[in-house]
Amino acid sequence: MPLTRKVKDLLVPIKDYAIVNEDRPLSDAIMALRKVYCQVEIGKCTEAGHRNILVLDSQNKLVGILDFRTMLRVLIPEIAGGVTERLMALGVSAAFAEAGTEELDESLLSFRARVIKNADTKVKQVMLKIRGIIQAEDDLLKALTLMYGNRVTVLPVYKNKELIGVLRESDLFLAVADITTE
Amino acid sequence: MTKTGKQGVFFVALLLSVVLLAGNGYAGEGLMAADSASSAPWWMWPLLLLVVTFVMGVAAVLGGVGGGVLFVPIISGFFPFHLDFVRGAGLLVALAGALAAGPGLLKMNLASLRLAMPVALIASSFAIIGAMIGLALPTQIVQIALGVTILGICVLMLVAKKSVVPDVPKADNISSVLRIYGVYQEASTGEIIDWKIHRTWQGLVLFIAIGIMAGMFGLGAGWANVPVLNLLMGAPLKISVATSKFLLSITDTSAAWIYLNKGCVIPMMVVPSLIGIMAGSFVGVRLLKVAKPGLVRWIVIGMLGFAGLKALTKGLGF
Repeated sequence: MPLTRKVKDLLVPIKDYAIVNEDRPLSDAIMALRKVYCQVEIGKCTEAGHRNILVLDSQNKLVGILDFRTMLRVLIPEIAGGVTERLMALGVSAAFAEAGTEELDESLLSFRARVIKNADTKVKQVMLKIRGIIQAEDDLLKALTLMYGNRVTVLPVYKNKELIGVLRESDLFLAVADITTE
Repeated sequence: MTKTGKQGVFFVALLLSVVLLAGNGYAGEGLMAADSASSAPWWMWPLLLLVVTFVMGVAAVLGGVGGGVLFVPIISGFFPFHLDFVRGAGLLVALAGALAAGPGLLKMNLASLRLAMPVALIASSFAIIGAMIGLALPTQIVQIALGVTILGICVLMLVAKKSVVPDVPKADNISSVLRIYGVYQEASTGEIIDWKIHRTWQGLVLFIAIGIMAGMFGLGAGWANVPVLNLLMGAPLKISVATSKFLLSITDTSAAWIYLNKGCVIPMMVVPSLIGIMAGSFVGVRLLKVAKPGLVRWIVIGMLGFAGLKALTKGLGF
């Protein structure tokens, strides 16, 4: 029975996961995640890897997480952002236009220039909070319950107080899917 | 003229026709004969305000003027509402735009808190005094002063220059003590711009007058903030515009409390006006992204001048 397995049997070791310091710009996080997501060594992004990057503070404690959607919201808020981000972007544009200085509005710049500027945002300003952690010795049912209860796709795995890895939704999916193939 | 330019002219023409319709068809009768205005269905005024302010929002963005600057003279000149209610609503209209932009401008590191705070302290204190003066003075006097101010704004819009990055050879003592300086990255070039300011005392003194006018007329004050911050104090234009908008959220809030406390804020006027002007300015931003406003800007300045003259003649009793 696959679900009798423990979290430690499925976790991705922390050394294999992308990490970034909270004080670094988003561009660093993008580079780190791109590296683990793609097989950059063969020059093509053909194999899906990890879709999140862990954010650590100066004491190397886990303080947050970033995923693709969060990063895209920061890079292109007027498209990928929620209602708040879009209204905020429109408000800023209206502010410059009403002052007769629409040429200074950065949203009128090229897509590339805006993305580069937005990638300078510090990671700690945009990272998501950690919602739930799990211990390596816990079983997978507990992990599933926690993941869906907290509406997250990854759970940091601790051995006592030490962060040792990450449990992903995709790993749990494969574990549950194994039941159907038995 | 481009398609969008034509659309802009259309919006401005629509605004003109609606306000003239309101002025001739209802306002005149409403002011002279209360029965005529009261015989209109209650929903007509909010609906008319919604339409006019929507077009006004588009015109404000295309014309390069603040929503509050257009709102107060046009609504007070052509609608049968008492000036106190119009000014109360005007402050909230200006405030809504400032609150919509403020968080984004701060997040982008364009609005400078260090620059805004001392200025906001002075401007908002005097905006409260301005609001009290405005409500204490006879309406006709305020109307005349409003007309003169609006005409002054038109002149300012026509003659004021802008300096993208003014030359500030040396920061003055007060700005150094208050640590009013900063750095931002110009997104278009990637250039890091170090900025500082000078003539801080003179600027702060001018903000006394700006605060009083903002509170007295309910206009918002971006039209005055930006030249003072940019041309007099030497802040880069981008920082000046962003800080000015952020500043409005503090200044107008202070003055708005006075109007609110005196019962001069009527939801029936404020709600459709806010919805209309915000929706209009967002549509204006979309239009602006595909074309230059060109002719529309001149029409809006002309329209503002006309509204200023109307306010002046109304105050003088012609």
